[in-house]
Amino acid sequence: MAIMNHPAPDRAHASVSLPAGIEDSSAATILVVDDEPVSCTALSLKLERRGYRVLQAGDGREGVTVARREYPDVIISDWMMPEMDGLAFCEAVKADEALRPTYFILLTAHDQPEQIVEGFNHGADDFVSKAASTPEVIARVRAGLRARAMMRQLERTHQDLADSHELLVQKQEELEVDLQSAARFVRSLLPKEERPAPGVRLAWKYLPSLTLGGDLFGVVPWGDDCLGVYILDASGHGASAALRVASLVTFLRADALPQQIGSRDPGEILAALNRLFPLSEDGEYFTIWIGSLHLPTRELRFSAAGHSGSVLVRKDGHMDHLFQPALPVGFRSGTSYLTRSVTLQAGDRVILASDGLYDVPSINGERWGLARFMRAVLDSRDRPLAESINDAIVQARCWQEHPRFADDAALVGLEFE
Amino acid sequence: MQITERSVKGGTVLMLSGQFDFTSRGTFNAAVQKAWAANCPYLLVNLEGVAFLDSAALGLLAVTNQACQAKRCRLSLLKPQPHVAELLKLANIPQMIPIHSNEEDALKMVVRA
Repeated sequence: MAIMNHPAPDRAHASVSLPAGIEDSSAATILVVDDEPVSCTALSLKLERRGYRVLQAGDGREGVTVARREYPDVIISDWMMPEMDGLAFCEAVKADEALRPTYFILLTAHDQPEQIVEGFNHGADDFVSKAASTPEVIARVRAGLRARAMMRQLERTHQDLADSHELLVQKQEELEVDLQSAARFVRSLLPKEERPAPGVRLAWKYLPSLTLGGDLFGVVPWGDDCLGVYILDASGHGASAALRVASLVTFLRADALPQQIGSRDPGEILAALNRLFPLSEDGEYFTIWIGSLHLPTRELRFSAAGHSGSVLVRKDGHMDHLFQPALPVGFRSGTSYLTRSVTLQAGDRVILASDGLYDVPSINGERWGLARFMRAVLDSRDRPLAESINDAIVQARCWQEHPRFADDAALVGLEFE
Repeated sequence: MQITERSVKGGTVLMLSGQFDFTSRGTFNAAVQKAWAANCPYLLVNLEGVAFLDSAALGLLAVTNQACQAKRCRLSLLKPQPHVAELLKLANIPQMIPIHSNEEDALKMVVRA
């Protein structure tokens, strides 16, 4: 094996400033592997004089043992050695996951391009000729340490990112659990009975665009002879809209109406809600339709605040839009709402929908619209109520050519026997 | 949604185009704030280029109208497309914000007021 011919120690080697965040390499550990003790010691001394901690090994096999024990930052290894040569040693280091980041410099007399390529192919990071001057050797060691430090910083960044991602996933899971819990609560507010009163059949679909929706409807007893019916849509969707609708419907419970609202008249209820829920600073508001069905007479009294998806489908094929233009809840203080009334006959249906259902666009942007929605429920009036409801949903999906609604969608049907 | 602005007789006309929905909030608010900063006595929102207006945009118009009243700035809407005009009508918006079919009429109204 060739012995390195070292020039005098160069104490005036150029100082290379490390990039910000990269630690000083002077305390780094360097493993020198050479079967020629004189060369090994000479190189080690040069490195030690520059403040490096230097370890030595006599061949590749011993080098692997030392490296696995000490995890050096840089390995400088001779190419030609007994037992395990520099290439095999380099390969062993790069095959070891814990040692792979170690910067590996092959010390060689070979300077043919194909030999350099062979060294790189075995995982070497750099080469230095045995004839290289001390400044060059030191410069290459420092370059290796910079690369090693940057790799460590990358590893730390990678680890930080992995930790952040894990935290994010964990928080997302916690949030999803909360949202699911809130969604269960909102769903618990939906009607449960298929027959909410004698002679009244109910069918509905509730399709929030997110886990939580801003649409809600209810069919609730308001005393022994009266059924309250409502559908409301909070502007926007998601958790904020769902919280607002859940808050509003507490005022529509039979036990809350007398104390909180003081009336069962739909127009008066809307006027009270308009006082209780003014437009928020972000422009959040409700549209709502409220009906009060007197069961003995089948008189349906109703009022709407900006909610237009409400239609009476008569058994004989006539249709009545249960609506009059009125400001949504909260738009202007002091707004009064008109109460209208219709008398229902056997076989009549009241269909209530949120705009998320009938305002769906086709692929060329045309809206399905209220008129087509009303036509759909009229055309299916002879089919069972649940089928008619499903059919309207299917038609809206066909119109938008997508199964999922971009906005919250709700559809409620009541049929009177 | 895109907004272009121009001054007309001391007031501001905002020309809106595209979908006026929840995502337009920042753009719309910035344009309105700019008009208010110029002490604009009236604001005409031209909806001719708006193909769709959602419930959030309706709320934004309502809250903008409230703020305009507090700032003594008159808000009017111009030339809504049929679908948008229908939506505004169903929500009874004309009762709250004047809607005009052309700019000249709108200007006559606000200048007279």
